[in-house]
Amino acid sequence: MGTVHAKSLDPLPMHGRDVGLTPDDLMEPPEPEQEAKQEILENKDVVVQHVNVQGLGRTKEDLLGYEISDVFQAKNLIDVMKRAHVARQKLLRLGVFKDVEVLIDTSEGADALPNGLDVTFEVTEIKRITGSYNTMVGNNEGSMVLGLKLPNMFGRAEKLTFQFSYGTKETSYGLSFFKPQPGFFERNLTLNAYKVTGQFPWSSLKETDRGIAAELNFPVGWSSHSLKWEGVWRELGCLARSASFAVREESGHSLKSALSHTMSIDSRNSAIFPSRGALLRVNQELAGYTGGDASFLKEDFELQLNRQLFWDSVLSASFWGGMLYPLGGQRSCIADRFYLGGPTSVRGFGMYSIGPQSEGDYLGGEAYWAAGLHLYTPLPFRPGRGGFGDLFRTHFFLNAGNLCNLNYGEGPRAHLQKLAECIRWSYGAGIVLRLGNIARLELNYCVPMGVQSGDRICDGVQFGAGIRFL
Amino acid sequence: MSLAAEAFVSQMAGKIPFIHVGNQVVSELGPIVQFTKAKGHSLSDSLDDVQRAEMKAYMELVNNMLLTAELYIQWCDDATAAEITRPRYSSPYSWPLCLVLAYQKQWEVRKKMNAIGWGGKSLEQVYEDVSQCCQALSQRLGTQPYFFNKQPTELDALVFGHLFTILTTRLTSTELAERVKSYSNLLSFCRRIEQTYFEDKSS
Repeated sequence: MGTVHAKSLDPLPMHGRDVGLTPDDLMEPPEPEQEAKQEILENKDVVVQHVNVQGLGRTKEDLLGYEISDVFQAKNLIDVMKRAHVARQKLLRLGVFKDVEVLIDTSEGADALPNGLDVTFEVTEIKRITGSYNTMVGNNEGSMVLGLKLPNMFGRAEKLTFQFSYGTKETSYGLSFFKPQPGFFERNLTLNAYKVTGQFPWSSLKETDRGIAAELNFPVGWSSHSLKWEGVWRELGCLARSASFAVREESGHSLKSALSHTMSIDSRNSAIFPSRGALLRVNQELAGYTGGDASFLKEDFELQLNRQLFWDSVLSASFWGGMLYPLGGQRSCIADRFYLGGPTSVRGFGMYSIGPQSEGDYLGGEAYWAAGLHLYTPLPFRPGRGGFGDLFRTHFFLNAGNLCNLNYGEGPRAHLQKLAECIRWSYGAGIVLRLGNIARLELNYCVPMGVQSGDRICDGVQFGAGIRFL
Repeated sequence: MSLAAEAFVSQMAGKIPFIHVGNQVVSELGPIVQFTKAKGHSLSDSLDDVQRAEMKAYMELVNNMLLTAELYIQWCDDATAAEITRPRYSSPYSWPLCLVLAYQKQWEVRKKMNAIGWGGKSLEQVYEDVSQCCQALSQRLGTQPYFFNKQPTELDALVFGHLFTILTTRLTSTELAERVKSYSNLLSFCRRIEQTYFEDKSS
């Protein structure tokens, strides 16, 4: 930015203050000198001699070495500023600092070069322990949630979190330990121990899971992978005296020890309202070979494509599918099967109320597919543009899907045929609200079609809240 | 009922015995009797009020004595628990769930025994209690084929269930079975019911 200079003479206030200048003075162009100075700053070779981090308490220095080492590569001042900014982002994403400030100065001292620079990162560490306390009310239940977090426990960005929820109906808790690889934050290990309880009124089932899990995340090229082992003691019970016998048969204790692998490639520009990019997530789970009594192979995938059309509208297509193959000749457990339907998958149907059922209790199925086609547009007449209005979208959707049990003795042709008959589908329109960068709320008007006997529909207005939508 | 099925089934309805009628599941003897009564069948229709009250008293005796003694011997006697009961209870589950569930059940039963005052009893005292209960039952039975008149009632079903279990379950020592066998009319009572109602189908 140069100084502003007058291109045309504005009438000077002759009758006001005496500015003591003549018009000629004002027209003096100072640019050549200005540009010469800019040239000095941009093109001059600099050498980054020292990179310091100030304000460290318990954080170990070897952890930071990897994040800030790039700054040494800078060749000129603009490059130094860019690399310092990138290094600052990397330091912040470790989750150990509350604040990072960058200071670039010429080097001083006995070994200072004439074009040497010192870069200093002034950091403020996060407190050793943070706690939170919430109360939640919903679904005829009130609960109190206590959270405890110990960030940067041993000085290398490890994190320990503990959450305890005490409710009128259920109690659950979880302990989690996160350790990233120093120098490669995207490669990390998480250990979990938890007890969670869930109630599933659509199946008249209640489930208590107590388990431990170990998960390893690592990126490979464009994709990010996750390897996980999980051991869960599942206790299933009936939620009501009127639960069907098929659900009663499933109640009891079981132990699941499973290895799973997830690969995901995400090139979308946002998780909630992406306007371009695609998401592919493939997950497989093998249970039974590391102990336990649940034994199956489970595959499921999720694909989403987005494309921007005219006038800020976005066309989005998504496709989900999955298959559960019980091994060892056992029947699959109701807690492992897939469920379909509801405001987060095939809209217009009741929550998880599609597919095999027994006296009103939905049992889930071993194979499913679901597809959705959406057109997202900004709100008509764009109220609140640039602010609150940007959180909303209107959308027009077409959803379809099917859930069934396959007879594994027959070939793939028979399987495809079974999945293609009795397709449920629905169409409609509604309003979507984005919550943060994680969740969304939807209010839709749906028209369900292809309803089979036994499905429960929710035609008309349907409200949905969640994280993962079809 | 096979032993693994017993553990499985107790999860479904909470308690055994249970019956499954249509889409209803009714568990425990009391509710089952009520249920069949509501359907119009009752074993104790021919009894008068005094006898019915007596029957209820004996049923309570059996529940308090025999049932508690059975639980005590299975779970509170260390040798029996380790050798027989815990392996049997944990058989449908895989490791380590089997250990967790077996010890959890043992802890529950021992807590219950302490609560009703049986925690301090020794095995000998428990055998004595069982003997006394059997003596009372034996005196009531006398030489009749069933406890009341010539028709079986709910009391007969209950007593048969417990005595048959005691006579046929393998324990670390045969003392309990011996004590029951020493009352010959109870022994022949059990044999008679087994032959009349159960062996017909299998033969």
